[in-house]
Amino acid sequence: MSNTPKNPNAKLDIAGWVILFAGLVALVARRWVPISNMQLFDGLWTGGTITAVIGALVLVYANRGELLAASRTRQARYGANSVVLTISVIGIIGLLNYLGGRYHYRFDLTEAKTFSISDQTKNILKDLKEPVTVTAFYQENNPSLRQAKDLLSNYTYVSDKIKVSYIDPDRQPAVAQKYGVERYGTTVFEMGDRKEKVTTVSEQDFTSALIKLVKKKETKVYFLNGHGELSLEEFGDKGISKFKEALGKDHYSCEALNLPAKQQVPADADVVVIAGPRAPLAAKEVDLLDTWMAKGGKLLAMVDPTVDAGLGKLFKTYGVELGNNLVIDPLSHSWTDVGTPAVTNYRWHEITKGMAGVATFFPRTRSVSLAKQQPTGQLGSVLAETTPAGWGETDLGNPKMGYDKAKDMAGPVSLAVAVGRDAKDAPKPKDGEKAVQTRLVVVGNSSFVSNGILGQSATNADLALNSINWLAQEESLIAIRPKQPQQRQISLTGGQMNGIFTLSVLGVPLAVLALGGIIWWRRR
Amino acid sequence: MNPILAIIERELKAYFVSPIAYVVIAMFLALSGYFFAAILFLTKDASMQYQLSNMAVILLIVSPLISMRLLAEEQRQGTLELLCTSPVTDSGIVLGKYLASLILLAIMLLLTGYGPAILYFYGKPELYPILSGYLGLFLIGAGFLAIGVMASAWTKNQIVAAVISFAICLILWILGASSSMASGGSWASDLINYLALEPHFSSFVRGVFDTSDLVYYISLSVVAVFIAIRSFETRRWR
Repeated sequence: MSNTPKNPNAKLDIAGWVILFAGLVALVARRWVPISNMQLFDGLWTGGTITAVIGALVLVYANRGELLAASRTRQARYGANSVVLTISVIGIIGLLNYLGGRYHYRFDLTEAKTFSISDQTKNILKDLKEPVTVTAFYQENNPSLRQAKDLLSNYTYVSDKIKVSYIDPDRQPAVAQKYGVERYGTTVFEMGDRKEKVTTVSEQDFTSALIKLVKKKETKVYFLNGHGELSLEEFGDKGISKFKEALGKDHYSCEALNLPAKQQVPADADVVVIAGPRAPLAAKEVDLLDTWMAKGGKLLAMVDPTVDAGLGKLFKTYGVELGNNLVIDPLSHSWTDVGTPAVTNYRWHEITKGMAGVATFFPRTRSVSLAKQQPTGQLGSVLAETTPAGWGETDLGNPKMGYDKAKDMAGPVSLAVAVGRDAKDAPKPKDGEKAVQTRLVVVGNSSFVSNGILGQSATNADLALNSINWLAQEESLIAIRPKQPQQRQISLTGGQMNGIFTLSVLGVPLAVLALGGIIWWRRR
Repeated sequence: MNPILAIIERELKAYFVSPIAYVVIAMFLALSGYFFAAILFLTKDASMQYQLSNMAVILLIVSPLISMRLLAEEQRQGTLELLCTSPVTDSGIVLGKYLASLILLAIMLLLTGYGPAILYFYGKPELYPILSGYLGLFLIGAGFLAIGVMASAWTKNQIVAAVISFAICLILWILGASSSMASGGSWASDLINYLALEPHFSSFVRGVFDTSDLVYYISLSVVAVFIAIRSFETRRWR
């Protein structure tokens, strides 16, 4: 034990503890400093650390005699060894954790895969060529911050080209200003010198921002009008305003196109859509489309049964045949309407890749098939067809509908096809660029994308959107749209609730206590 | 391995012979049972998400009570000498006691199984998130108990051990609740954010199994038990 007199050192000792304690209190008190007072915040950090260190030094000085003596004992040496060993173990474990953090695997165990991101997002992330910086401006205690962190951690998990940082705009107002952030909860995506701001927390919106950054220009989709086609501006059941909205989310901009007025297909048209014309196109219009397509145009045509849109000849040059029929499928259809085939048989194609097993509904459709002899250099695929029990009914006036071998098309009847070929009249591709293609998708029904029907099946939307994606040669956007989280409800009667409450709070615990009581009593 | 099994057996027998263990378990069940019922009635949702999160907090409070006597008591009662003369190493003693407390934890969690059973009876819950939630709960409980063993090795006084372990667990828990983003990106704040107990747990509860969270919890227990063993060994010199 120490030989030095206790009194003066005792006072120093106490002083040391008090100073050390004061320093620690200062450090901890920073937690309650109002955000506006950065000076006090930083001051407490410096002041607190210095005070704590001074306090520790005073303590060491006050107890120097004891410490010196103790360090000479075997206990101290053993203690020192022990500390070194402990630090090494902590070091190794720390390294393991660091590695474990960088190289980790996540498994989303929920049925709806609510915590994974969709394939669509994953594809976009995997195709990223330039690094993307994400800066999320959230206040510390904003509950959406956790959501944003969860969501973005999925993104960084898939691609290491994404770097995320979180900034509290209150604590770093200068940075928030630099980015032009005006609202709390804004996330900024940066690629190169382009920025996209998102003010919500959703995979759809974050990925849309990424899509906008990746696509250096907007993709323009023109919808033909003037022949009674479905209208972009119509919000009722028969309009396609929802389709337009969905395309907007994937960053396609939609506009109406009146060919006779414009006299040509606009130069910035990436895709042209003919959505359910009810009157035929003029020959001149068809010629304009033909010329445009030969140079590398992409067309999505939805032609309803019994309508002659004047496109038959154009389609024939691309090996596509429109049937003059109404397709019936007694085996797979919507509710009791055999005239609305529900297709679950998809042929393999970029467009239908993720759609297996989910039904697409076509209310009143004609057959669209590939000609037996396909033009050379062209790749044609059937996208969707009925079950083998379906057929294409040509005798539309007859109330007794049945398969007539002589006239009707036998099942499985093809309802949608996609053809692609290198554009006939396009300039040759330069090094590293893809060849310009002419692509055509024809579907025998237009109402499947109308507002009233689009929502009935997720795959109705998928077929339409994926077709546009494929036509615009944006393969990485092909995927199923994100799903909604499921709610699993339980409803209980009052009596059931009482029972559960009693069991949980009284029944089970009392049973345990009783068991304990029995054992205790036995031992007496 | 055999001497360790003997320690485990001895420890478990000691638990279940004394009425205290039953009181602690009953308390835990009553509290978690109350929250189970209350949350179920409020959310009407067939999931254990919020209940499991609540149970973690209850474990935070209850586990010091379980772990406090592991080593501290023996030192006070002087039965330590008896133990040390038996053919089991120091680390064996600590490990054995820790494992015994883990078994107790497992039993407590199993007893709450009536909760999921009720959910299955009245609704259609998802199996995997419940399983991963319980796994996470066990892991965080193992962490609490490991810290408790560590504190128990530091002092002869049970109450002090309980207070110390409660304080440490609480600090680690709070670190997560107020994640500081002062300078997001600096390694110091990243480290503090990583150390926080709760975020690693919440992914299990929602049905996300991430190997890095598994690494975190196992590391926490390993480090704490290691320190406990080292501290316990130095007891001989005091």
